[in-house]
Amino acid sequence: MANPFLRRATEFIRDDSEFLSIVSPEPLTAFLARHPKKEMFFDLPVRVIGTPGSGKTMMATLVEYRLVEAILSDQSSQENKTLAAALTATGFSDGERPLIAAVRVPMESEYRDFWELPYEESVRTKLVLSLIQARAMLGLFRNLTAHRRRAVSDVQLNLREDSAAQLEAIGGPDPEGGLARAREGERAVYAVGASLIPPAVEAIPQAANEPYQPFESLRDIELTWRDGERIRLKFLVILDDVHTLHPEQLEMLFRSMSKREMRIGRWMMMRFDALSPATVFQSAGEDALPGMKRDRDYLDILMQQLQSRGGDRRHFRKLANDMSDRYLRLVQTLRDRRYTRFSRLLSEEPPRLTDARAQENREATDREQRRLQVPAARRASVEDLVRSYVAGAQSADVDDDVQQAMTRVLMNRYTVRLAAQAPSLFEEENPEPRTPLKADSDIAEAARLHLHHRFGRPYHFGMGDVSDAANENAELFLQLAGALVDRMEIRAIRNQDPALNPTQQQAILRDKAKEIVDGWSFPFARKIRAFVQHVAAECLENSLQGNAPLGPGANAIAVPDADMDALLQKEDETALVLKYAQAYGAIVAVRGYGQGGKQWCLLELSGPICLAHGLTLRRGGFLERDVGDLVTLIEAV
Amino acid sequence: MRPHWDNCITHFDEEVDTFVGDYFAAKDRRCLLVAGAGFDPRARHVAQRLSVAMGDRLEALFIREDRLDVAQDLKDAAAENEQALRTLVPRCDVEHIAVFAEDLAPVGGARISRLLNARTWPQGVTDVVLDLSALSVGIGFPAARLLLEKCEALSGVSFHLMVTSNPELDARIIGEPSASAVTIRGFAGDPVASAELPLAQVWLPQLAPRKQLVLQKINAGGSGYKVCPILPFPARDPRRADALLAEYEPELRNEWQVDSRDLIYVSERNPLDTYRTVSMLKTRYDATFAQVYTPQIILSPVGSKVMAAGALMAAIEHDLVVRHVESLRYELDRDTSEAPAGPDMIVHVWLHGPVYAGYFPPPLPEAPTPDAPSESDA
Repeated sequence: MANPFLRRATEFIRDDSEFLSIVSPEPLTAFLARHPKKEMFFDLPVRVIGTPGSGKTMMATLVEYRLVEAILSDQSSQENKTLAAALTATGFSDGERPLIAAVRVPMESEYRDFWELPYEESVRTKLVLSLIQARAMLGLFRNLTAHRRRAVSDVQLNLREDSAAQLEAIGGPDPEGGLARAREGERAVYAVGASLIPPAVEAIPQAANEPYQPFESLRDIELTWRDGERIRLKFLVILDDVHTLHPEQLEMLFRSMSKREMRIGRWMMMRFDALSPATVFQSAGEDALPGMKRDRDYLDILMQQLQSRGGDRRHFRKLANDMSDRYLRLVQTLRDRRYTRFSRLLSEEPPRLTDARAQENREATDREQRRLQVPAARRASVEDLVRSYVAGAQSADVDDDVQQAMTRVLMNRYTVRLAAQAPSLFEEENPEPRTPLKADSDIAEAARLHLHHRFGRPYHFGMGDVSDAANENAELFLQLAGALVDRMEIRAIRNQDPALNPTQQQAILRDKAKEIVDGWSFPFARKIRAFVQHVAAECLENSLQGNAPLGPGANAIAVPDADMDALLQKEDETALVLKYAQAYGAIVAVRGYGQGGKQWCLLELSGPICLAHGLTLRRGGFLERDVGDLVTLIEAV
Repeated sequence: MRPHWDNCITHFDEEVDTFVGDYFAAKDRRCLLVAGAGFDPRARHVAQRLSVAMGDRLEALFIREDRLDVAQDLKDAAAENEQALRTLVPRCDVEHIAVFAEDLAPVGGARISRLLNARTWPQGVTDVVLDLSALSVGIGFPAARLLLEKCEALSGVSFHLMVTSNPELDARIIGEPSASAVTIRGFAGDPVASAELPLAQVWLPQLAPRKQLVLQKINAGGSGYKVCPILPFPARDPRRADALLAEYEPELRNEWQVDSRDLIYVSERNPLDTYRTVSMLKTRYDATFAQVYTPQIILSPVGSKVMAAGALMAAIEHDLVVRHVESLRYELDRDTSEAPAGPDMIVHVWLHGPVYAGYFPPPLPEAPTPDAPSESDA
């Protein structure tokens, strides 16, 4: 039986109804409905930027007219009601009628191929723009007539008042003419671009050479909605994956889409690839193009915010919960047994060491006390601290195993603190450290990490860890969850409880994370893999120090923020490696992170790296480095 | 239409040596060899055979595919091959083709087409041989189509394909795939966006060891209506198809949702088997979907070069789409724990030439009309 979690791209699900049954409205709510400039979405050009798998294409598919019409026409299911509410909140409908006729145009590699044609730049650009516009118009008619609720003749294209002269160029006043012109243009331009040996510039067919600019001419679209009601819709063209274009091609496309006289909505979806390293890292004052100001001339929607990250994790946990439950309902083996909540199948029961291991753990505490020469009275007071923390702890994962490890960490901290202060003139049996010891959740987390590496106690498990490890990337979450679902299915088929205990979850997540990292294939992947693995090893070494200097441990390195700006401006290989590492989710850059009176740029390791190396998923623990270290490290790998 | 391709003249292994010895040794033959001069250990085999038979009647154009960040040992191997090829064929040019543009977009197909089109055709050439052994699909396919079209436009010029194949060695050449799949230059097929009928795509990925990532990227391009994987059988290792089915189990089951009746088995040794199978599928598919859908077949020949040669023929003859993922760099896996590479297999396919001037295709068996009663009904 197929595992729907492991089908990578929801846009390839063939039937709209199947798509609607699994698609979550959360990306619409999280990235569009809460955007501060959402009222300008259909007036200014918009760049929607995200890592691969962040849900760009899914979102673009969901707002296409044919799906909006399907959702609004059938409000009998709860799924459709939720989706309709999200569409209303984002301006695609008024709750009953559609307001926008959106069309997604996938920008496949063939558009980039035009850049290789032996023509002048202006000719190549004109051909590409004609092809995009022809395909957008074909997509528009296909969307409007998808459900056979209306014929092409029922659609009326209303032009801008000052563009009557262009009427003939886009196929005349009637929609059939417009459709025929789009078909003719598409075929003619396609033939030029796809040819093995392109025709001489003077031999380019007339249908490809003639001006064709419906984007500039169109004002809105009129059609019949229910019960003969005529409604007007704004046309929105969504160019998906524009990062595949040549940088100069993209610049020209962006400029031509930014013409103020255009009345249609224009969205360009892209990965970070197409942006400069400084823009990918969101350096202050970085605009898309000279002379174009963000929020004035265009808008950006980031599918993964680099700021307000706590909020992002909360949003994403909600999305992940919603998405996983929808997908789980498609897993027949589990659905037949009435398992409908994914999170319930991930046990978070605190793991326990075996008796032998637990004994070994206790002995380790005794050995540590002797090694550090901690007086018995100090150990007793440390144990009191731990017990007192445990009594009020929110987490249930604070059993004796954890308490023993916490005691060891605190004894180490005691020794380190005493060593750092000037010795007393008088011999003291149990000197008091100047900074008193404290047992808190950070020490408990450090204890769990130490137990994981020393005794194999599970560390990454539970719904929270699975969604946090996905770095707010829906596809990555589905891959991790899919591996868990595979095991759940096997258990269900064997008539066992499909719920996975922490040990099973830990093993599956670690193996899957390694597989994901080994499978990275994007520019500089080999170098980036070696770089992040080196950083992970350094973070692990720090995290496993006896006194746990960073509490839960490190999962990032940091360089001074201003120095990072200077490095990125150079656009040399180091900058490119960092750009692609960030663009493909190998690291997460956090700008302007204030600590110790300095502003830092954190380079956090992504979730799969943390899973594979047994590092904490908590944010904030970093190793201080300078830009020179970073350059040396990247050059060395 | 090239009806003779169904029964193309082909030679295998020792027969190739005999054919080269007989045919190319004739004093009136003048040959242009187009071949790769990369690190591939099979780069020299065809040039060696032809140079022995033809001496200075052989000219050659050797292509060096320049990729990014090439491992030093492979760079050395390529330089050694180039030097050896220059010695074997003194009348040769070596041209470097940058497979990637500065923005990492694969542009090798466009560049090889431009190079071959701009090149002056040598005087008095009677035969053109394209050796696909050491050329990547992104370079070899456009080169084959362009050379074939040139030979067809001239009179009395023969066009031959030669492939030295070694499936075990192929499995050890590991490419680091580039960011996304592309359509090979000249193999984009008919426009489908403007088609009046809805699109019905069939994707025929050729399964090969350790190519999951490549095929996932190709599938992510949206070619997912129906997936019919191509497997090598008969093959030198009779269990190869089974091993591939086991290796691709997650993709076949979860991602592509392949019906086991849709698996296609073709000979690992004979490219005509792939050609005939794909051609038959195309004919049946077109007939089934006529007036209902716009059918489109997409090929992804990522494995054995022999099977790729058959796919190439089918793609040219039926104007099929060929999608692939260009490799940013290659590595040769020197781990010898797996099965050792067997001997190289060499194939010659005579695609075009005066030899087919008198060819008449065998008459097709008459198709029964739907209303006519069959014998069993009688």
